[in-house]
Amino acid sequence: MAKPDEIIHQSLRLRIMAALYAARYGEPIEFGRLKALIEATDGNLGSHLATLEGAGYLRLEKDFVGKKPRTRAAITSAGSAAFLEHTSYLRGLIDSANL
Amino acid sequence: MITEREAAESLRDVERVSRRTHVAGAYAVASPHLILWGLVWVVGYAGSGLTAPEQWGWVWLPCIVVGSIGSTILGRRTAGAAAGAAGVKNPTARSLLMALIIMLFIGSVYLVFKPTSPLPYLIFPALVMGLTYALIGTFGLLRFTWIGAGIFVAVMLGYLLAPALMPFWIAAAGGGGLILGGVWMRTI
Repeated sequence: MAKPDEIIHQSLRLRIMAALYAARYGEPIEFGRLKALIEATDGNLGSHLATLEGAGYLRLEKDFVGKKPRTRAAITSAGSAAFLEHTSYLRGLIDSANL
Repeated sequence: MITEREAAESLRDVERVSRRTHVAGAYAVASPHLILWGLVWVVGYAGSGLTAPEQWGWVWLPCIVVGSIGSTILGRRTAGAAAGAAGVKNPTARSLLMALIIMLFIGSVYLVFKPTSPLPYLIFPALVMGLTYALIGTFGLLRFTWIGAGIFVAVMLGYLLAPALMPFWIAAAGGGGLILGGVWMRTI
């Protein structure tokens, strides 16, 4: 039986994980692009990314493009496993309620 | 404790964001190809406008070779991103195969219908490409539909209103439209 993940369950963090998981085979996603993809409206994206990084679910890459600083995020294998476990838990919850 | 309703809402969020991410990845991969082929159209059609119809083959041959080589290089650079974007394996080979099928189709149509004036040789490929982009868009990539429809409408308007200027019109509206479309695809 899959278990819920309290870190991922927060709405914005779940959307972050969904975007990074969908892009797991591609390049890491830039901060601004990630913000657009998850339709984040608040200014807390940075702190949510730090929380997920602290849990080992994603890694942040900071570099420069020319003179412009760039932050990119990519999901880790632990993050992928946690995301799959959490979404599996959510599906199980709905399935058991529909029985 | 997560309720059934919260779980359903969360899964809808996951589905929506996943779909947006896949679409954005596909657009990011397509963007440089559209810009490249927009430039090819600008050079090819403007070159056609400046030369006699008998010379058009020599105008387009280097354009198509340069475009194909460029697409192959771009395809190799973005292969990983393409795989991540839409689970597409070997995107370069697929694109080249699609281009070959389209060229065979256009050649077959010319063979069967035997155009009696030079204009169809310019217009028909542009219309087919407009149709192709519009059809690609029906697979959840709506911006392709807008770009394809835009090319189609622009070409037909040019044909109806100023047929004598068609090569330069397609260079500007078609090639320019592809370049603008490529830039637009970078904006998500």
